[in-house]
Amino acid sequence: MNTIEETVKYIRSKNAGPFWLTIDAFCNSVEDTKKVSDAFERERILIAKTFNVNPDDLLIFCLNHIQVAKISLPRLPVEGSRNERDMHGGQQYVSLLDIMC
Amino acid sequence: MAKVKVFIPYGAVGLNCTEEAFEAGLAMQPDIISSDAGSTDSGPYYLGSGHGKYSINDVKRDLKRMVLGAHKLGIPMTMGSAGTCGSDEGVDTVYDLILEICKEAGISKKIAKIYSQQNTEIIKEKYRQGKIKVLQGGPEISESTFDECSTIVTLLGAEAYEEAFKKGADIIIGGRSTDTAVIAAYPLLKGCDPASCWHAAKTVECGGVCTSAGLQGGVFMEVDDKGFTILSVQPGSTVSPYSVSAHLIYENSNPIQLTEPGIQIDTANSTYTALSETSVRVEGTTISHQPYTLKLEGAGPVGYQTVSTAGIRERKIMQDPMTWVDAVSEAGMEKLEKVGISKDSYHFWLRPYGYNGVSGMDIPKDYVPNELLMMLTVTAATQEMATQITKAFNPLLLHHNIFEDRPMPSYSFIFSPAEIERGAIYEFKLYHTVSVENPLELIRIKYETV
Repeated sequence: MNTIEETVKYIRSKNAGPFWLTIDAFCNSVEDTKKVSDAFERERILIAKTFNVNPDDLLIFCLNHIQVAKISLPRLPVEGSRNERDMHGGQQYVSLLDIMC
Repeated sequence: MAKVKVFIPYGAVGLNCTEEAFEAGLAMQPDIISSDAGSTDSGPYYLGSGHGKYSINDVKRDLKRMVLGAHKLGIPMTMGSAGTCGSDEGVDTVYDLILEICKEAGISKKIAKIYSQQNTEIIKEKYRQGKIKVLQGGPEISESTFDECSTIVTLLGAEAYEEAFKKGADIIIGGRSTDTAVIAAYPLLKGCDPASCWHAAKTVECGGVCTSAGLQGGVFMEVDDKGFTILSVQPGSTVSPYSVSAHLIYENSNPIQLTEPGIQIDTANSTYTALSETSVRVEGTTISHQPYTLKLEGAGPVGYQTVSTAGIRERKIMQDPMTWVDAVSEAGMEKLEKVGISKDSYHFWLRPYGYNGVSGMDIPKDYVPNELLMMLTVTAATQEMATQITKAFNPLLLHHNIFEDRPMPSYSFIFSPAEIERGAIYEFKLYHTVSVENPLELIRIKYETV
């Protein structure tokens, strides 16, 4: 098993509107895409806890046609609130890099 | 057979594109030039204040090329979400710029201004009628939430643009719109396949991002009654089935289905075929109809903010930065309490950047930074209050000593004065839809001939 950081070609996160965050893991093969999206599914509770959301609100996609594993989730705190640390959500993917897949 | 060619020069009006890309786009003989200008991505300030994000000179430069380019070819142009947030102020600002451009060039145009900023009382009535629904992940609201918003906008669908075309507008300036509506409207009006119009518009809404040229390379789409073709514009750039299909996931929580006012687009069975290195054909996208709703966005002020910083290299503090952060926070609150400023009357955070300021999470074991930027942010009911509180923290940020056996230290300041006043700050307050009797119910369109 490798970490997500070791497996993916490129990973990014970004706001999808002020109330959602989306994370795209670009993979090198269909096989890796499944491995990464399976890992997201397996670690659903841990990921939800990391981002302080309900596990059921995590949307996980395995997009074989473009070899992307994707997670979308509500964004807490809401974009631009007084406690904001990452306005565009651009650094949120780092929390997923050590997950094994 | 209906066929419409759209040139999309910019990812957002104000972000520029290369001269070569603009000239190449015009040479491809478009039927219309369209670009979106909106985003909520840079935070709630723009919607809350009603102001635009981009420099007015940059916006004028981009508009000028669009207006003169469209005039040269004798074709219309659309621009959506004027002024980033699509407020009435944004529409009027863009109108004034276009007026200047037309006067400077000595040309005459019929201009439509589509306003989508909302009257609070009308929206409250909709709420009372149960016509406002929260979207997944949105906040719980009450009637007073609408009063807390300084700006409320609805996102225009294609219908308002189509209406303005029917009235003969050459230039359409849209208030807040879905990124796609501003681009999809003209091909929809001309009878192209609706699913393809929306899917194509979603693909190109960030300009050249779906091509190898990137943001400033422009992009071109051709829609007909069976599908659409995406073409790269910047000389030497390419598109591929990958670059075209992968753009659907960008800043989008659902990469398969796109929801637009009254419809949902499904791309699950879409096919992407390379026709050449510079063109990709897409077919098979489907559409379904839903009850007609418009998305609402709202933001309002939550106070005034003042910021100050201190740089620290002191090695004993680097061993355990959070002890210093906690000590300064406590000492600041205590000091303010003594002069009658209670903890409930302001909000602040003090974060060590270079340690865990970005993440707020635990740091790796044994990590010792070389230096840190401590950032203090205070939010209070007035600017004066926020700055007074920040000034109370000033001697602590400069000198606070956490070691009993040492004399008073001094830390590193960057600015004089040390406080930066940030003005009013805002929060997003709505993530909802409103159902309407007809697509134009909450929309106002005004026409001017210059």
